[in-house]
Amino acid sequence: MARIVDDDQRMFMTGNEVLAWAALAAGAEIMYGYPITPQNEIMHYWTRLAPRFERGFLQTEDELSAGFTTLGGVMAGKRAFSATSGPGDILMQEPICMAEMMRIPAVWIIQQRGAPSTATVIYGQQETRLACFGGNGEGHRVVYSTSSHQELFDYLIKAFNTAWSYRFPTILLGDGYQGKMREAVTLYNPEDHGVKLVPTEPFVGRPGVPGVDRAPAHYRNTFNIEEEIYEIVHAREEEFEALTPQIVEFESGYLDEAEMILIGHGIVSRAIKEAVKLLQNKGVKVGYFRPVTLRPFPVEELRKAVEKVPAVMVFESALGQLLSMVKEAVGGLPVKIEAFLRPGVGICTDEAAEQVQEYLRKSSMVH
Amino acid sequence: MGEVFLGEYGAGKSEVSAGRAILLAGRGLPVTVADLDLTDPVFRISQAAEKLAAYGVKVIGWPERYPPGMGEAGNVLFPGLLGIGWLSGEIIIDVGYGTESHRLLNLIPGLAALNPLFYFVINCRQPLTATVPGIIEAARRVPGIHGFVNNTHLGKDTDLDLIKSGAEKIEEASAATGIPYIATASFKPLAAEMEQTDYKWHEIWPLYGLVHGSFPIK
Amino acid sequence: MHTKIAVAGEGGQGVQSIGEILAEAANRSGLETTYMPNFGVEQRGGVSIAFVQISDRPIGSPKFKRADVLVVLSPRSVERTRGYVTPGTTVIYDSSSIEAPKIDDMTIGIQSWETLAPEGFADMAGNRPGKGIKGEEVRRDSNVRTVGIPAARIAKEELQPRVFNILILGAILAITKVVTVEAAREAMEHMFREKFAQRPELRDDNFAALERGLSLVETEQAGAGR
Repeated sequence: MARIVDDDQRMFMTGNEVLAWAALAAGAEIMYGYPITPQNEIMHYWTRLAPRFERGFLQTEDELSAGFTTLGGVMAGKRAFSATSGPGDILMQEPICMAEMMRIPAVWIIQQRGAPSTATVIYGQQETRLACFGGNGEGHRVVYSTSSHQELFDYLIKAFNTAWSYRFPTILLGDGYQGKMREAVTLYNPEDHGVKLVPTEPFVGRPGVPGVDRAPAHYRNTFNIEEEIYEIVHAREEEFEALTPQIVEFESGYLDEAEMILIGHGIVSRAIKEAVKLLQNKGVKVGYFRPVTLRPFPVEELRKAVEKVPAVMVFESALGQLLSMVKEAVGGLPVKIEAFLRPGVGICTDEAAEQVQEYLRKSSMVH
Repeated sequence: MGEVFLGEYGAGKSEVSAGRAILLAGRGLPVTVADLDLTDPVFRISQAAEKLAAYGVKVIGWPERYPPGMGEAGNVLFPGLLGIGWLSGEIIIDVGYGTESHRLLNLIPGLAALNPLFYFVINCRQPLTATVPGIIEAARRVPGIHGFVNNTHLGKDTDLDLIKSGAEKIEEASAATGIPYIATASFKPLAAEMEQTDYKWHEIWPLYGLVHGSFPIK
Repeated sequence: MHTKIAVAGEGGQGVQSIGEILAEAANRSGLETTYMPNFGVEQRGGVSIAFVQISDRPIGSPKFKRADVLVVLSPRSVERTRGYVTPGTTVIYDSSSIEAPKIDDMTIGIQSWETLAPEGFADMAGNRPGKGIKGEEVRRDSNVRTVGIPAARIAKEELQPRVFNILILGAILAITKVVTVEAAREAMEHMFREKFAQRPELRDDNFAALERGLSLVETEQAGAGR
């Protein structure tokens, strides 16, 4: 695979542009896409860069088609991906479910926008549940929720490797802020940083006589018998659970002696980390926990973090999507769960800090 | 007179347009900025309209919360933009959204009457314009550029050496294409530092961070 | 009284009609009943199963794991439904298309869930059936009653091939007595009233088949009580 930069390069650019470069660095061979804001520039830049690096692109008639052609690309053995947002994300769920059923290691980038429906093209975290559990299925997919341009670059490379290592569809979940904002990022060739690209192989059209030289390629998403699906879904779940320790990622800080832990994912985690530092400087004992993988969710790690904490506060730009995952994860623990829910709008550091202080002030008055 | 700001997506067209408008207004000229960005609902110069008004600069374009920025869904040209060809004073047009946006200019009647100059804004820390051939190729995508504006920066990690490294590439691209290097733009404190050096920055245009301020991200 | 009946055959054999008539007849007799069709994704062909329950008490789940009466009308449906057999099950099969040893081996032999062709390919695709629904071993001397009816042959030779399923229905009624023959006739009159009105000979053909099915069980032509 051709090197995308001579050496590590510090650049200043939009997140969508970063993702186009990250896909090049990850050795992606083809993108299938249909335009929708706020991720259009991934496609725009990919189409400008692809010819230079001998990569492919196909614009389809809609996201359903973009999703299924991506699966086709993967089955032909290509490192293939697609990108979408909002209403396009909904259409993409059908191919994503097929990828879950047939264990097709396709990669999706989802830049969340406001919701429901067309809503805004700006920003939101209201596709969190859709990214994790969209479609008809049990959420057998890996979802990375990024928070910076560097993570967009690092985690897209990782997403391809995760997909091809474990054969579960893999999603990089960003948002309109991350797509459109500009900040510094270091572009690099994965091999320079000790990252090996997991090799790909075709699912179909392999050499040899099926049943003689090799097992037949028989990938199914259609079954006749209830019990068969029962078996398959259980087998998937077992495998997904077994892989969880290898895949799951989180970030936390200042957990010791914390009176409250702030929880948030994606871009919001930047605000809560800063808020925690702000409050710590004032002598307020608070910590933070950020799930990096939303599927699999860091259940054990979160439970351990909040075990001895009286309260947590969940921050998200949605009306309780992360909140319900947190509630499920910490179920049974004697922790009070507060939330600051801002569907479709960003969360700033100072307002996060204010919320926490206000809560701690009130709860100390009660005591 | 008119000045049209073009460049790669994210090169800083809106910010440079705002800086240029303030510079001209500071010389006592009547300045109007036309917001021709029909694609993005954010990162547009209209968001800075109030702040620009404080410098005596008028902005024509959809106010915030009005129709534009439906992304792919098609957008409505602000009717007032149709009249800018007949305005007096300095007219600055921020076309926004990538190098292809110059095609929108055919929507503006009477543009030729402004005798506009087309400035191409370059941040050499964007990968597509990080090399001399890259700059030349990007500039070729837009016909009839009158000058380059150096806006090389790395956000808060910007210093004079970094801006200089961009300046050297733009000088080279300028020599190769015959397109003059007009100005170097940077945030006000760095612009002040540049003034203290003998380096050939061409004109120095200070920037004020007016467009980015709308983003609630630290 | 609570009878669980599973009728299995190839798509197009009229399996679902048997289930519908049984349920309609039970309903008309003032009994509680559920009927649930179950078939694959194929437009035609493939194994089709009708699940019917008839009871004098309200019925819970429409699905059941063990049948009191299992009717199998094709070799493939024997394989598909053998998990439904338990001590006490009566297995009625079409002896003109299914050989008795197959019933012995498959139905009365070792009971377990297995994925069979074409599902066998699932194994190669990594979709291995593992734990799940496992049947217990049913010993050959256990109380499973099998009744072979040469229904396809008789329907073809003596009646019309298309009334094959009604002949089976007659046999089910004779063996299970879950509903009366009169109730079944009434149900068919109601369900097929338009067809019967257009082509009265259909009524005669169907009722003849019903009678033949009833009488088959009562004569030596049915290989009963293995």
